Amino acid sequence: MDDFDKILGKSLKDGRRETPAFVWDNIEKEIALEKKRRSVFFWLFGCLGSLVLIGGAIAYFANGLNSDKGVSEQNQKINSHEILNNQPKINTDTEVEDGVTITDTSTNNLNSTKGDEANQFKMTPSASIQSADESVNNLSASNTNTSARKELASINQVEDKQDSNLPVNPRKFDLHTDTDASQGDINSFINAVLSKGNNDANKDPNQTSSEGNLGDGNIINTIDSAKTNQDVEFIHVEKNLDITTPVDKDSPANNNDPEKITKVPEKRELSKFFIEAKAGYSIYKMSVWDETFTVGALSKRPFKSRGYNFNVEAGYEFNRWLKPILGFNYNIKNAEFTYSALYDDHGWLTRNINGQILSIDEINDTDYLCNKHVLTDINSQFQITSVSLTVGNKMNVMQLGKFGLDLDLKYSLDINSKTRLDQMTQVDVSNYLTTSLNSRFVCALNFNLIMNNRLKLLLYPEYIQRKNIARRELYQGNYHELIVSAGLRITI
Amino acid sequence: MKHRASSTNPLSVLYLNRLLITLNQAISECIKAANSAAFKHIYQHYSDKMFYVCLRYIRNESDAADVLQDAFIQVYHKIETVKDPASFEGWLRRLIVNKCLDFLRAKGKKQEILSEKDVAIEGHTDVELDQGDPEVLREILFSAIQKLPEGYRIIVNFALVEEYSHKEIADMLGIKESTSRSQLVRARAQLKKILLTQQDQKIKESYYG
Repeated sequence: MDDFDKILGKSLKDGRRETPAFVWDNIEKEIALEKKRRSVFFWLFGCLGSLVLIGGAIAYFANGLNSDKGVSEQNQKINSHEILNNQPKINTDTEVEDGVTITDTSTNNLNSTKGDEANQFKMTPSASIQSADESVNNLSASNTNTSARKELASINQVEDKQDSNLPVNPRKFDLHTDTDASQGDINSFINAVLSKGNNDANKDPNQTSSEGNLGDGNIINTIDSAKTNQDVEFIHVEKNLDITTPVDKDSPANNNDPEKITKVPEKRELSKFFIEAKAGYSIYKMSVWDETFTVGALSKRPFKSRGYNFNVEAGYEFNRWLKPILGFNYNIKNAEFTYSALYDDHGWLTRNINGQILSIDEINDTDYLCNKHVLTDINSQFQITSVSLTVGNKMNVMQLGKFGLDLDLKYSLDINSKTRLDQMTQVDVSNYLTTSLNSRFVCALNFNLIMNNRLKLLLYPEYIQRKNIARRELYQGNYHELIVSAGLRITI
Repeated sequence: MKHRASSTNPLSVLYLNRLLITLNQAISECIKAANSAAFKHIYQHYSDKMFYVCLRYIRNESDAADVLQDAFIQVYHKIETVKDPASFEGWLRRLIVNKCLDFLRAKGKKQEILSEKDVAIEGHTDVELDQGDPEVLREILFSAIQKLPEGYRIIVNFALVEEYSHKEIADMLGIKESTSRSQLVRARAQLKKILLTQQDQKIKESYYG
């Protein structure tokens, strides 16, 4: 590379040419548009995510409540209509919830029977009919016949297989042989099943299928496994079962204790874990900013802020006062604040003339304010985002029927917090520098020392608190001041 | 003159620290996250310099401004990829140059680079550059470069101003290294010729008034 090349390269490398103003305007527009697009996507996905979370939580709790409700309804039905009235009328027109139609697989011939011949076994894991379990247990206790157990166990196997709704070679139980089925007592019915099971144990399944008919054959079958005497869990009644005859409580076949029967099985307990998702709009107009930005009275200058808050928490309920929670919080807000700043004549914000941070005292004592640097107000707009981890406790302080009041005490630790400066505009404050109608409250002590009959030496500490009357000025704020003066009083 | 602030003058207690940012801080801020205020700072610092770069490649001022605009929008989106704020200027310059090249390619100007019909080397031409006033010299050289055909202007800018190697030039333009070398020789000769013509004209103007 010769001299010519070097001179040429050096000269042209650092040249400058004034850029047309429209270039930045266009860039700014494009950036703003891009931001808008991004924020639309952000909110769209944010809202969708929140909806999914909230929907999931609602579905979760709704399922829990429905299950519980189903149990309650069943219990109510049994208690009110069958037991307490001593008229065990089972309305089988209503489909039993969670019912699983099963068949007796002891025949090992699942497909051999026509549907109209089949007596389907419907089993319900409902605890509602457990009222009858007691009697079953009683029966089982006295009836130690193993074949009955086998019968029950085989039914149970079917349930395990979840092979529902397959009409299979049915086993019909001739309840007439053991009990008066026309009485329609469900317990008698169970009794009959157990007894029948006992009788049928060694018979050919196909033969037995032609046997047991309960009157008009409406009654189908019941019962869950009975691996032990305490294991009877299910009892089931098929459609068209209508046992309307009142129960003869004194009947030896009906050795049920009504109190035992009316004993409502415990509710299916919901998990004590809970999830809470919240989304909200945040707005506040007053805040104390970091002293890095402003100091003194003006650190309390108000600024506007608005934004959104998203929160997801999971907790465990020990009792109403102790529900520890753990969650995440996402907060995004736009803050607008007007600062006063040193602004140099290049139009760039700098720390000071030497690029160093100045302390307040240095500013007060130098001529920066009146010479090269001009004091201006800067209106700044920030976007503040934070993701935080939240731990705390939720307390239920009041519960009036369905309405409750919880008090949450939480500690939040920022995992990531970001303040982004979006825009800064210079505000001309020259119109605000002259103020009037400021008021002050002064409280002073006057220590004096008599020198002679004409002269007194004074020490005068005074405390001043200033309040603004004219609120229009940007700079004037409330402030506290302590002045200690020394003086002399002359009596003329 | 000293402005002694008293406690009754709240002006004295106003101080801004975090917002008083330097260029490096602005670049760092922008690298961390797109920040339009800091980006404006960067733009205002570099725009004139980069506009000059654009004008060295693209003669038309309006086209150069468009290219600059596109380039800075790209900078805003890609600034996060800058690993070290200290290397930002080099990165920016490279991006601007590529944008200019794209623009010229789009206009089909690149073809000129590959044609060797423009100038025949007419012996060894030498030119004396007056290095008195750097601004004047810069203006003379800039105007001479502006008069070069697009292809030669690119090769002169690449080789002599940006100081790319012939291999880099060959890669960027999709030509052979030997072509790059020969084009540079021709471009340099052409440039000197233009400068001589300019000098002659200047002498004539000063002589004849």
